[in-house]
Amino acid sequence: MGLATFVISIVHGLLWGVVLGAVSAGLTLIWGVMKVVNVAHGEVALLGSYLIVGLYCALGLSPYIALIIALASGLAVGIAMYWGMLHKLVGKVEVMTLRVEMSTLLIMFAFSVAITNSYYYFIGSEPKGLGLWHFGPKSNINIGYLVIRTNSILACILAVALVAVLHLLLAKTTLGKAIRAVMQDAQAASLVGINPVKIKMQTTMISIAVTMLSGFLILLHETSIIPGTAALYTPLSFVIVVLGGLGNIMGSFVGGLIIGLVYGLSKAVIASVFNPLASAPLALSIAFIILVLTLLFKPEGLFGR
Amino acid sequence: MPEAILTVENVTKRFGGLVALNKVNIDVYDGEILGLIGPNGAGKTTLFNVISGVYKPEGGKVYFEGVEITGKPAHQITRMGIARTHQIVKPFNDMTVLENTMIGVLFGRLAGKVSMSEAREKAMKVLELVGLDGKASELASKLTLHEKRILELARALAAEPKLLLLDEVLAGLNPKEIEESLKIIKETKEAKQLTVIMVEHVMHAVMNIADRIVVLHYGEKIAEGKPVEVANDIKVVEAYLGDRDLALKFVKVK
Repeated sequence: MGLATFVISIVHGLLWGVVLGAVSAGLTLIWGVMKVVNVAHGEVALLGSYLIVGLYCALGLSPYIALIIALASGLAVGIAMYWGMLHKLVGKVEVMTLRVEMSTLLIMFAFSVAITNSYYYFIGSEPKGLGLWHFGPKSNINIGYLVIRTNSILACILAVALVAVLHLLLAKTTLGKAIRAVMQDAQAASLVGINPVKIKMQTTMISIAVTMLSGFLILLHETSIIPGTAALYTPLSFVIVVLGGLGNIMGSFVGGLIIGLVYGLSKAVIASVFNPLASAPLALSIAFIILVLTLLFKPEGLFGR
Repeated sequence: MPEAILTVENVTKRFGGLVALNKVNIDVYDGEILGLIGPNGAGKTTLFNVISGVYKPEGGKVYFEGVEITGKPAHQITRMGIARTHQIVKPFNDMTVLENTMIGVLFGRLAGKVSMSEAREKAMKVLELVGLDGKASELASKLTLHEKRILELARALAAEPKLLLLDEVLAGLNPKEIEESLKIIKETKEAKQLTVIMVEHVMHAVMNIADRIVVLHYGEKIAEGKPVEVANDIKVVEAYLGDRDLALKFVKVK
């Protein structure tokens, strides 16, 4: 493997890692605060992607306006998901039991199957994307042998902004303090005057809205998506959230960078020394070996306390 | 007779077949420190949980300042002016001492009426009052048990309550820490004009600080009165020692 390949795989690994970090933010929030094991996470993100594609292709709306609509719809979908599926399971529960957590996993699994099949039925399995739309005047930037798509750069900028806003929301605002309090001890939170049900509903809204918004990042990074794209992003998000520590936004951002980098590098190495066709699936396996190692040796995550 | 700020009327709480509280009646007067004592399993913490809204009682009513609060959610009761600490400390470990206390301000009786900077100021004042201001920027998880207890007190006080429920704040502390805690409780009670109910096992401490004592035993109120009266009540001594003859001996000694 030459130096050029090495540099290219590091740069692209990091570009993807930033996106992955932002995509995982919604999961670490809903899983960390409410113990909802959202195995439909990637599917929810695609809901955002498809909404933006639809608004752009069918109505000719600018992707930026579509993005704002996706954010607003995300808040609405979050309310619907909370009252429709989650409230009965976790709303009044103060100390989570394994049984309750399993129930959330199963209900989200059912939801993911339903939503994936709806994608296949209503949208179909052919790739969908923003076509020739690109960020800035050119579609690519060339730096020596490096070719970077401007859409990838936009995805990075938006990802960093999204993570920064979420981090500040949790660290600095009253709502953020309440969310962290409920995450640590819902009963103690209620005894200092916080309404846990309200906070759980708002957490769901934020998580789902942010996740649907991150669908735009996936769209920008991947160029085009199919319903099966979720099958890559859901498991990777779980790896990243565990690595970064449950409920830790900055942790999952760093986790995303690590996974992006590891994936990019191992893919390049496997392609050059072994078999290019095997590189993607094997690199994905390496990401999961990291999950296993984290759970075995550092179950609280890299930044967990 | 001063006015009752809290009235517990015929409260019954069952857990399956176990009657944790059996038609308990208690009046708590404005400005007093009421000691709530009784052997393990007497129902003291259960009573706190009923008052603060963690449990809904099967029977009876609770009134706070003349308003019925039975079965209201805990966060609403806190905002009406009842704050509490826990037997097993529950600070928010991943937050600093200051943040913990700020949460008390932000969601207490002043919820929605204070800005973040006002909340910070008020929280600092409370920390100064209880002597924890030096540790304001430390993570709660780094504190000693004694400091965590004081932090819980600070968080409760930050809510600007009228009634403070203290659940075994002295348990597990050494004599020096107990003395310190009692001083803090007395001082804050005066400074904030609070009414206090304290559940306590450290008998000499509660006898010393309380204006009145209520004794629970197997979920029933078996005695009520001034500390001296209660200490010499044969039923109380019997409940603690379980042996009537031994109990009689103790009462005579007094």
